[in-house]
Amino acid sequence: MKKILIVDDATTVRMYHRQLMESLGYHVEEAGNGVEALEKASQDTYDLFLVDINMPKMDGYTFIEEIRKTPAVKATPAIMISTEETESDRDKAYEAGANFYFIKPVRMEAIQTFTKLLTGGAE
Amino acid sequence: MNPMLESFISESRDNLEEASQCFLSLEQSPNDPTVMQNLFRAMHTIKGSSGLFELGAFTHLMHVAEDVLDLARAGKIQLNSDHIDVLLSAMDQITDWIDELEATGELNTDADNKAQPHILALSEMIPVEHKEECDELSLATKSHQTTHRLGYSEIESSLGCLSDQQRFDIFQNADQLTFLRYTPQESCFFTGDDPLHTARLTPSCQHLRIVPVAKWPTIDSLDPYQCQLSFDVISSADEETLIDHYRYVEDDIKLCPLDMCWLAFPQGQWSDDQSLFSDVLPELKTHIDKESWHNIPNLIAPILELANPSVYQISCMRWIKAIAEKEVLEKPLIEALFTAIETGEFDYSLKSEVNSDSTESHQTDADTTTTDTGPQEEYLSNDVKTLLATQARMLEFSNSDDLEGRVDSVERIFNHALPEEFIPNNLLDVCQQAKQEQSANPLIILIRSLLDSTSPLETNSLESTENDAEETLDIATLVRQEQALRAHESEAAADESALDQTSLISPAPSPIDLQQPISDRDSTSELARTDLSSTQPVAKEPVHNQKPQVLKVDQHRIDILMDLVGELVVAKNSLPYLAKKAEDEFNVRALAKEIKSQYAIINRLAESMQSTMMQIRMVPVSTIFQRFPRLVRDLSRKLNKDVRLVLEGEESEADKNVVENLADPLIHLVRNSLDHGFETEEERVALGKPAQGSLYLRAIPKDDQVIIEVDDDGRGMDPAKLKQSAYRKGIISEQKLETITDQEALYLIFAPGFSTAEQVSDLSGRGVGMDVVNGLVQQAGGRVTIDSELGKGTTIRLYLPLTMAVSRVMMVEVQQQCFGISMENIVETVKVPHDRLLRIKQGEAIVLRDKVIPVLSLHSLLALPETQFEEEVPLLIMNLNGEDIALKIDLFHEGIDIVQKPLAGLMSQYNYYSGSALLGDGRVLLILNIKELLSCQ
Amino acid sequence: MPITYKTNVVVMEGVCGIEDGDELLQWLIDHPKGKLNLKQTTHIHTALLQIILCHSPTVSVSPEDSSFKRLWSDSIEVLMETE
Repeated sequence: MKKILIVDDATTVRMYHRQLMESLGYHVEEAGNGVEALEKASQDTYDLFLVDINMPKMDGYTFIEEIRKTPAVKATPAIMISTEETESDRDKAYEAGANFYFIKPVRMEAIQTFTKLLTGGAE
Repeated sequence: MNPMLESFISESRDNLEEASQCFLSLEQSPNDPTVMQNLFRAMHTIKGSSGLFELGAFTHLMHVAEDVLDLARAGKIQLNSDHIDVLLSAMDQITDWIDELEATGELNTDADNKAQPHILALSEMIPVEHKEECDELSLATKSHQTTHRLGYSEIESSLGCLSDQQRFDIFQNADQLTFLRYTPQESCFFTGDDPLHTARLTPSCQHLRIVPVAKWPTIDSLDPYQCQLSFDVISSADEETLIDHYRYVEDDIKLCPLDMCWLAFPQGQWSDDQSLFSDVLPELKTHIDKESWHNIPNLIAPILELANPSVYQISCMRWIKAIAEKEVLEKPLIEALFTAIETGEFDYSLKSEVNSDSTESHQTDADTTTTDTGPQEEYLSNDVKTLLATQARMLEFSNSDDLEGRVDSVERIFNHALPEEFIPNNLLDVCQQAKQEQSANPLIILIRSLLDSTSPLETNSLESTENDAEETLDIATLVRQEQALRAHESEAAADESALDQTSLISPAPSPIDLQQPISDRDSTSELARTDLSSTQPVAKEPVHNQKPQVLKVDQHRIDILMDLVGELVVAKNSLPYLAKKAEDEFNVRALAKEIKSQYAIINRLAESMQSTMMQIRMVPVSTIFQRFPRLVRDLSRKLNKDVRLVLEGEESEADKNVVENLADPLIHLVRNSLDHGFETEEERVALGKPAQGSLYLRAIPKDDQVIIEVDDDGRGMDPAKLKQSAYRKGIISEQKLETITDQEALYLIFAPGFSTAEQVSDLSGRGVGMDVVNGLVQQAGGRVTIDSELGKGTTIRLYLPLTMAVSRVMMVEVQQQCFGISMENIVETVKVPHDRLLRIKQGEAIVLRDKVIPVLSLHSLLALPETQFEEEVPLLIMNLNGEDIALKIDLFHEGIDIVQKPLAGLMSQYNYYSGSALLGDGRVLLILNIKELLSCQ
Repeated sequence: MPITYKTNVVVMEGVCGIEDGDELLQWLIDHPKGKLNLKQTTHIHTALLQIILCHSPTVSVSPEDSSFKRLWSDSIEVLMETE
């Protein structure tokens, strides 16, 4: 089963994404900020990171930047999830190294399609 | 309630708390970036999470507030106290909504109205030059605005499918029309959608056309669970209504306003026999030229009644009549129709080709294209294209230290997202090259060239892909279709097509090429992982500053656990009885001994469980202290008094119930202090005091109590004034007025109906006096003391038990019945010879240490028969409201710790019992509320 | 049961949901000349509609429910005839 790490400081949002991802057949783990997420990523292999931007301790940009520089996890696809819709916000995510960008709240179909593409399916 | 909403409510409460603290800190230090950052994050989280629920007004208000903060953070607005007032009051609204959500699970219908004034006030804070960016933002989230538009060319063929009569009916039925195309996701059935149902229920639906997206296969190869239908709807509802109806599938719809003119084109069989209508044509022409539309219907109507409606010219005339009746449509259209009567050619600028020959020939363009060209041959689905384009963009930002990571992640995505046969077999090489050259360009070029080429079989299917640019197929269908296609194509053809590609891509199947590198990559990443654990400080370090894990548990569950522990404590007390029984009745001493030693263990465990439970329920008083900075700020601004609030000892802990019960009395005390205690700034200066008043809120743990002090340096209380006032109000007698000490006078403020305020202000004096405060504190098992010095200030202390769960009572016996009396008010126990009791009028009294203390009999208070004491009378000396009384009882028993429970059911209305407790032997002990009992007398 | 299968006619009644899809599909495969009785039909799920459109069976009794009747005549029948 493919594993997804949800990185968000809002419990409710994590819960929402967890339900969504689990319904698609993924195994889900959670982290409340970038620091915690890096810690988890160093201990386990994930197939995808779903990352919020605004978080205490370490924000989503920094987390993805770190991931891309860390040999063991640098190839893991990452989706940035944000509330902002502007082009410059998207670019900031891509600049950090995110492979995709979603606007909160994400739509079921969209996230279903793209997580499938990014992970090659849940199985 | 839905657990997600529950989590949202509790999380938002925390964030609101944090936000309001930040607002207050910002007022002190407006430019503190850390505070700003925390504030922004708290607000952002609330807003973001609220988007998961349908809370339009809520999210909108949060969004506007966030916009304001965003500008403040960027230094474009300087927040002042007025701004913070507005923001705080918006947060109050949010808090109210959270309460609403908790109570009912949804927002009241008036939410929008409630949000409006806040939104207005907030937007007034935004300087004009920044307004635009913010409005845009807030509006964008409000209505998403992502609905796709349709152009005329896209709907033309669909309109052509309608019969003349259908178009005519629609035209006459409506004044405005919207055309909507709903193309459900293929997998939509699995998410519970029934698109036909949704489409049928389209508001004000005028016409529904069902369009199969492809030719049907034979029935035995049909997969009915992939949606293969699209729906064209014409509705007379406006776009907003339609978008709302389709809100769950918003991305699957496209729409456009349908110009009524687009419906008006003639259809039918050209008739060479013009005799029927040729007479009226000159007159019709005149009316059209003169634009005297109202004359036209009467002119044409008789002909329409007689003529065969399927005649082309009649169709034209019918349209002319209909348009003339509407009186709103363009003259050129009528002119075009008129020309068509004469020439058989309808030429109206909007439509290029409407065939006049037969209705049949209009048969859908969409249908024919799909049938003729066979299965869709989209090389890469739009989703994959989007994904690849994004990767190219992402790669553009590469720099030397993350290039490898970026390239590797894109390589992985290639392997995941593309069907095996489409993965360029030079992908690995290109990635390698990129890493060597320290530039993402080779990979970007590869992606671009993939995106540019429409198909690996470009020469064959270019046309069809162009015709169906908007067609979206999911990757599964793509694979299925491609596989079917490939089964038919020869190897050679595939190779040939590969040659047609730009040199960089070769999408021919290459499963063997791929096998090796994949395992290769896995092993490298394995190696790299070991690498990480040894050399990556970034990932390692955080272990130390990790936050302690916090578990949020519903208090109710803790209460249940608490009760169970309480029962366990009682149940274990039966063991000594059992041991005694074993020894006395059954004569098994050894067993008795064993029971006793087991009892010791269980006792120890039960006790530590109980104390752990107490610990769990302990919360710091800061949870309520936090409310005060805001309260003091608001009040001092309102009263125009400059008061500094100092919180001390907030970390002191007490039982959650105690702390919660403390909130109301404290709010009242603080209000009182601000309202009556502090002088105005001018008065203070005149008195030589510092202009700014100081209000201390302290929590001091002391033994098994916590003392809360409300300490101000205001004007203090004037005992003389208090006495006079109490006398005037009939609270004390004239006699008392003379004997009462200054210290005692202070306590007069606790008397019901006492209020020192000369004028009832808006803040305190709302009919809730200090007597209520006193009552509340006593209810929580505490007491209140007052110290005040005129001109210097007042200190009010609340003595509260650390925990309400366990209280100490003295057991007393009256007429063979045991009662508990709280230790709080008991001063001492004495036994006196019965002849020392003095009769004074109807009552009795005793002189104890030169003080006359009234003696009451608990028997008579409880309406039990009096006991005749032969020698000594046991007396319980108690202090109630500063006065001593002696209570006659029969027997003292030991003082015990009990878990007091409020009385339930019928008993609950007898408030001279404060509660009950279970004793070790299983008996129930009633706890007396002596104060109530006395007032019942 | 919204759908009853007779010797050569399938009778659809009320609202027919997606859960009847497999059975209807199999029945139509087994009964290529099977007919459709829509007298009491008020709604059919999109999936069932697809099966019907794909196979285009003859309708033995037309719908009576006014809304479904209109849907059938305006939007569905057209597609069956062109088949």
